[in-house]
Amino acid sequence: MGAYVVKRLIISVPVLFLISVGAFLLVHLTPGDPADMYISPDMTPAQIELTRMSLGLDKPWVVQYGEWMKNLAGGNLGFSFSNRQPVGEIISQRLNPTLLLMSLSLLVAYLMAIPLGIVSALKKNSLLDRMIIGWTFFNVSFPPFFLGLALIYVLAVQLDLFPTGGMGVLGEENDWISQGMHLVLPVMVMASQFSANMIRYVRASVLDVLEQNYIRTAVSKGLSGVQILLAHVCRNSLIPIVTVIGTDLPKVIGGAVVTEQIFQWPGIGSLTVAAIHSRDYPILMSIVILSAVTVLLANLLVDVLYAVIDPRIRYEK
Amino acid sequence: MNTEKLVLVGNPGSLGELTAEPFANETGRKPAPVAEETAESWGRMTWRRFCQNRVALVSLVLFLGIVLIAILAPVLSPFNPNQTVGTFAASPSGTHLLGTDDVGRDVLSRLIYGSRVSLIVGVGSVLIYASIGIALGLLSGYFGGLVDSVLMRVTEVFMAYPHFMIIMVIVSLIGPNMLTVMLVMGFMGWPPICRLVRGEVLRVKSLDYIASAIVTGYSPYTIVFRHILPNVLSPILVNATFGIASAILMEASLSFLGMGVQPPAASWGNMLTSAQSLTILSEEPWRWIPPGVAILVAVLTINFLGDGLNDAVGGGSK
Repeated sequence: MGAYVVKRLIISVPVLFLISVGAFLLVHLTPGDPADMYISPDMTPAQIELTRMSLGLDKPWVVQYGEWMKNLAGGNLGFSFSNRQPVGEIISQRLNPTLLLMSLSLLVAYLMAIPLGIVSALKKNSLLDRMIIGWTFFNVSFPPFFLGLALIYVLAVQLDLFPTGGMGVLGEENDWISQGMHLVLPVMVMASQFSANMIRYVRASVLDVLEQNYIRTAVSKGLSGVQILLAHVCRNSLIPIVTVIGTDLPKVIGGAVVTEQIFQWPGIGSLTVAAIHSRDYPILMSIVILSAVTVLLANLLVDVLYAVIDPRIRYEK
Repeated sequence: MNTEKLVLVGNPGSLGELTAEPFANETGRKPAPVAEETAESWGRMTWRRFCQNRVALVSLVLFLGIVLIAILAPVLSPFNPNQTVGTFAASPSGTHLLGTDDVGRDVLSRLIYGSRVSLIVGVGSVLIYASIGIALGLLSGYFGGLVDSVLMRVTEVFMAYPHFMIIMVIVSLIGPNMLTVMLVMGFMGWPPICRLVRGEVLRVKSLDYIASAIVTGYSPYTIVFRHILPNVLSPILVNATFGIASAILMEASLSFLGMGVQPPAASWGNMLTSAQSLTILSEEPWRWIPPGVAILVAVLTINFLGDGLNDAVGGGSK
């Protein structure tokens, strides 16, 4: 297993290289000059040139890429164009809110989806099953911003149960109750998106397991329904669940742009939107790299999880 | 008739051809006997199974209704969607059934014209990425070797970028409008379908009839397009249908964030942008609920269509 992980990491290096070139070209080959944002009409050509030099934009882009990679390797992500702060610092400030929102949403989604999926499969074609399936369709079809706005309208504005946005009340010491209240609505929006996929996969997977011979054996040797469910069905339905986790984990960094924007959540998503508006290239490139690395690591983690859960799966050395 | 409707669901028109002459070939040999014995064509069988699913049928009717609204937009909409035609932010009334927005544009007319953006971007981007994905997937799966390895590495790189975020960044950097949204989504979306087609080709390629086609001396071109493609069409069709639904959602999200279709052009997504202001959200609900419901209905019907289609072609997990 260790050898396999090392091999996978080595294979990731060329992919990472291409990703970094892609991220770099993306922001450098697009029309418009980032320096435009920092040039005022009354500047002389010499001053404009000075601005470009101070941003490092006067050099050929191959040199710019080389310098960027060199700094990246040393852990230096560069400095934000708009406020001159180190990009690493800005991103790490925004990382925690996003991770908090996403991990909680995934947790809520799975805690809800796995039982629902199992029930749905056990009561196949019943009214309950149809309702659960119908509900998953609503969840994947509901535009996240519309769901968010509707929740704010009903639960925050009309009923005044929850705050309309942010991570806490500004300028106050926020205890965990206040922070929790601020989390409820954004978590509801994200969890509804994550849960739909999981419900459908669990349902299909449990249905598949129920048709297997070893379930018939278990029934005929007189095991109770609960025993069969816990000992045979759940364990064997786990593999597709890992597949869903594999599609969800990569969304942890970049998946909540719209939700963060609606609830003014100070995370990576809203940072991306702000960086696009101010054409803050160092921040954009770093976010793209960070999220791509997350995707690669998540894929690796899922492949390792497969082997842990299903002893039949072995990776060649 | 029935195949025409299926084509509307999102496949570039190869169904009719397929159902007409399943295994016809240029050399004048008799078509494979299989096609004659199963009297029911693929298209007819799919349609019959599709009709048994009431939800999917209702969705098809609703979807065709939305298509009709989009086509007849100039006839149906009471006002010019992009011009000031009333007082600012007026609530619904006899003249303006859904009220007006903050510069006095008629919300109903914008809603009707918005259907055009959603459908064009949704269907257009899927047509682009399905074409690229099918072509590269066939290439990769049939020829294997170096072509396959290189293409698979490229799909890995594409799929490593978070999809929504990368499309948002590209669109906003090259200049957001309907065309760029459609093109960027089209050119970024092909890897999953490429992998799907590749896998299907690998599965079909090992079947006996392909071996016999190779022995008979057909060119690779004929084998790929006449013998393999028709047999991998079902999963592509289902995938493309769901793809239209998520493309519509993505366009709406981009436009909502101000990084897609730009006002004054009307898109269901950008009609909701102003509702980020709490005053508009709580006091002028006619401005954001109708477009939100429109997106929900459009995406929901297409997803139900895709599900019905999936069951009809036998891919369902029942």
